[in-house]
Formats: sequence, C-alpha cells, structure tokens
Amino acid sequence: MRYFLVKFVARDPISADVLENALYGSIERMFGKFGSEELRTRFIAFEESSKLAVVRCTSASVEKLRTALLLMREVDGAPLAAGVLRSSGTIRGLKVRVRGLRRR
Amino acid sequence: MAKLLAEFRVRLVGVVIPADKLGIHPIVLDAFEDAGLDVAKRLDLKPRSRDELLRALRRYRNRCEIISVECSATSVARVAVRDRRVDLVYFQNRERGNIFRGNLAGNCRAVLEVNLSELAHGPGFETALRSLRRDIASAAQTSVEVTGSTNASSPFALRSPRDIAGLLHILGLSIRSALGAVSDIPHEIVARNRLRAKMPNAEEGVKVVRRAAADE
Repeated sequence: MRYFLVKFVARDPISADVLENALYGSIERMFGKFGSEELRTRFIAFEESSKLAVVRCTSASVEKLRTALLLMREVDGAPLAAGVLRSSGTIRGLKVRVRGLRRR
Repeated sequence: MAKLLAEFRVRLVGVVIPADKLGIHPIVLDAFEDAGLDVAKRLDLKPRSRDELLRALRRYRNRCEIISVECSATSVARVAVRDRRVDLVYFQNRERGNIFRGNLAGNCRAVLEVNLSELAHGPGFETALRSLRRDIASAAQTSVEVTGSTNASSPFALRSPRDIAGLLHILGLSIRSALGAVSDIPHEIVARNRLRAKMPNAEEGVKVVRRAAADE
C-alpha cells in the first residue's frame, strides 16, 4: 500500500464526503469499474480547515491515483484542484512528514 | 498561485509574457521570485503563416527564455519543429488535419508540449485522451522529447509536476521519460537559453569550462 497527503484547492468549504465521491468518480471515469477496483483506493482522513486529505492505494497503482487526482477539476460545479504533497509507504511515515511540513 | 506552486515543490516556473511586455520586468514575476521560485519568461507564439513565425523568432528570440509555438497550420508546423530557436511545439488536440506524426515527428528538434488544460472529464474527454496518446506514441517512436504543462491562469488549474508525470506515464511514456519531462527537460531548455543570452556567439554544444585569467 502507498499513502498520500493530498492538498485540495477550492474556493468554498468542502466536506469529506463530497470530495471522496468526487475522487471515486474521477477514478471510475478514467479507469472504469474494474480498473478502479484494482486501485483499492481509500479516503482515510480529511481536515477541512487546511483541505488536506490522506488517501491510500496499492503500490502498483500510484500513477493511476495521481492521474485521477490530476483530472479532478470541479466538484458540485465549483472549480477544484488536487495535488499530492507527500507520499509514504506507511501512514506513520506520512504523519512524520506532515509534522515536518507544518513546522516549516 | 506562487504559494501553491511552492507547496507542490516546484522550482522553476515559466510565466507567459505578452510579446509587447517582454522588455520590462512585470510585477507578477516578483511574486513568484519572492516565493523562492526560479522564473523563466515564456512567449507563446500563434503564427498563422511560416513568414509570421520566422519574423517573430527573429524579433523575440533573445528577449525570453522559452518560446512555444502553437502549430495551427502545416506550413507553420514544418518550420517550428525544425527551427532550433523554437523550444516547444504544441499541437491542438484534434482527430484530423495538422497533427503530430509521420514526417513532422521525424524532423522534430523541438520538445513536444502536452497541454493538460484541454484534458477534463466531460464531452470530448475520450477524443482528447486518444489524441494525446497518439502524439506521445509518435514522439516515443521518433525519440522526440515530451514535456507536460498546465497552462494555468488560476490556482484551480495548477497541478503538481509529479502528478503530471503520472499522467504522461499512463498515456504511454516510460516512467523515466515522464519524470524527465517535468524536471530535466524544462531545466535544460531554460539553462541553454540563459547561456545563449549571455554568450550569443556560442554555438550549440559549446560549453564554458573556465575562463582565462586575463578575462576575469
């Protein structure tokens, strides 16, 4: 498994459920139902104030998840951008990197 | 935008400057420089004929660090792919007409630019995807270098370079070439043109190793 710290950029406050559905929708549109199963994506956590999320997928489908995130352009008609800030093989490693990111 | 680019760990950004403002230092560049980014002036040319392209290259080549040419006509594309003053060539996504393949790809000295702003879910997504795959396959067959750009004019259009590499890999580039497309290739273009601006008489392939004591 591979864990990603993802930054979302949106004009208005946005809920985790909406983002989660938008991400799964983007994956399905790009890779189809069968392909999206292979990714085994999970939206683990989301902080509304900073719009940072932790997302997981299989190690073999890292590029696919990045592509699906890149193709997320709007949610509920409002513009949206998403980008991976950090990635790690363990969720613990990602937490260490997030702490480093916040300290800067 | 500058802050977000810094968060995405971007080091070099090409800012499109209109041709009439190339001589001055626009304030927008300072915002990027303050965020710790290396800024390169970029000029986007959209010539309608071969002569218009050659005139623009003669006039603007030494005033900017990146020149990109949108190849909207075959006559423009034939010159743009071969002229070494052109850094990037961009072909609009379309199924027929002036497209990047065959003879054009075989003679291409410039870097093929893949513009991600055209790629969005919705009507025409499959066509755009197919078109990009075909361009990238043509480039790979003929060893033409590829780079990806966002063409962003707002923070919502910005993307992380590593994510762009992911898309290029999905579209058919090897992971090594995809990573080079968003790191080595843009840096090489800017470094080459900065050197060319500093030493206009140096030919391609000439590199200053050190200067004689008398010159220093």
